[in-house]
Amino acid sequence: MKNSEKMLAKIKSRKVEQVPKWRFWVKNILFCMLFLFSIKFGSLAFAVVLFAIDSAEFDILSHVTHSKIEFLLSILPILWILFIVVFLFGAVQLFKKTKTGYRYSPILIVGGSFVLSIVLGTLLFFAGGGEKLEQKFADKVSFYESIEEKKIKRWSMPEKGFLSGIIIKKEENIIIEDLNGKQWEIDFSEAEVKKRLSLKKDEKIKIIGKILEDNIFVAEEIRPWKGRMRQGRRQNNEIHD
Amino acid sequence: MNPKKNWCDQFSDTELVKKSLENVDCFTCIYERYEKRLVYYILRISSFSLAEAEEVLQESFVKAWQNLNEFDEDLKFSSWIYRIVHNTTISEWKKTQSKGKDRKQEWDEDLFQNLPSLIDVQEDFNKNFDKKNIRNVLELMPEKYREVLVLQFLEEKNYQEISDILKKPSGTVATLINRAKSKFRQMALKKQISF
Repeated sequence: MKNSEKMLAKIKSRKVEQVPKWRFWVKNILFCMLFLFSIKFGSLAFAVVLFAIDSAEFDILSHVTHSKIEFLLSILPILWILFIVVFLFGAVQLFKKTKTGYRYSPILIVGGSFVLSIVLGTLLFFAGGGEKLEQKFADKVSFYESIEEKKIKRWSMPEKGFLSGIIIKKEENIIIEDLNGKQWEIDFSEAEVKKRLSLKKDEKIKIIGKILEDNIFVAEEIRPWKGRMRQGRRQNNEIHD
Repeated sequence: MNPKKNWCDQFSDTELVKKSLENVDCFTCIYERYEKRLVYYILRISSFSLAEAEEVLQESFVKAWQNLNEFDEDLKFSSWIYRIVHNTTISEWKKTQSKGKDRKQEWDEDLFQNLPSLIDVQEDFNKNFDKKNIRNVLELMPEKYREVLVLQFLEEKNYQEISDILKKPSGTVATLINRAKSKFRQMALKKQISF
């Protein structure tokens, strides 16, 4: 018996059935879709990282009197950076599993996926997707401390020179109620006040300065609660609304 | 009833694949067309005996028939079948190794009679190469280097074909071949084998 006949006999005796063509299509489409999902999630994570960087206020580093490394670690969105790495790795592995994915060099796949995630992530960030996702994530995941919560913490340390609150009265000085409900009189006579601020009642502000007395805070600089980019986006949304 | 060889010869691989999808008997045409070179290939990348290599080839073709709908005409059929044979051989070979069989097969002198002409034009494979010595060195090479050397120099496959068989990018294949050649030279020196 020839080997070819033996092979044929094996196919017939084992009743080997052919895998239908559609299964290969579905498998390939599935990998392509999972790849795109990984890119999408990577982009969302990148949008959150941009949101975190936008909220980070690196320029206050010079005013930080306690550990600068601790401060940097507290503002770096490590979890989201980790998400980017995981989804990027996933995207690369999934792309390689598509029908012709193996033909492309790993550098090209990693680079391409990274660029795609950056472009989509940046678009999502400007559309407000990063902020929304981060907020939703914080609502769902109890142990996660949101960027906003970290920011509140950062700006609730008057003894270290960082105070925030809502203006409740404006006279010669302004009176604010901080985020813990305590009232402060703010001496801003020598403070640099950001142009975007009007210092009107109900305006939420951040102040860099120092405590003079128990409830008197001398401001060196006053900023609006939201960063320039986020405020710009909010204004745009308001115009569209 | 198996088709006659003359009948098979009039069709290309792709045409035979289409015919095999309709009638499994036609698959023997493809088997016979590739049998000799694929048995050699199995022997070159493993240390199976001839009988075992034939068994592995039959199993590979059963798998190939099962997955015949996966074959895409964008790919050369030879690359596709080499890929299946390669994967089956490696997987079967690993199984025998994990079972603790110490396999050091005596080489059949006639087995490598068809060492291709490409070898003798390569700088690293001197014109006066000794087939047995090449085999001895190849046997010592790590699997990833041995497989690319075998595919390029013994199976005469180009970079694109090797890329399709091993499912690795062409650039990676080129790098592997360069490293494999240098490793081959080192091994030959170490074992004091000259070509």
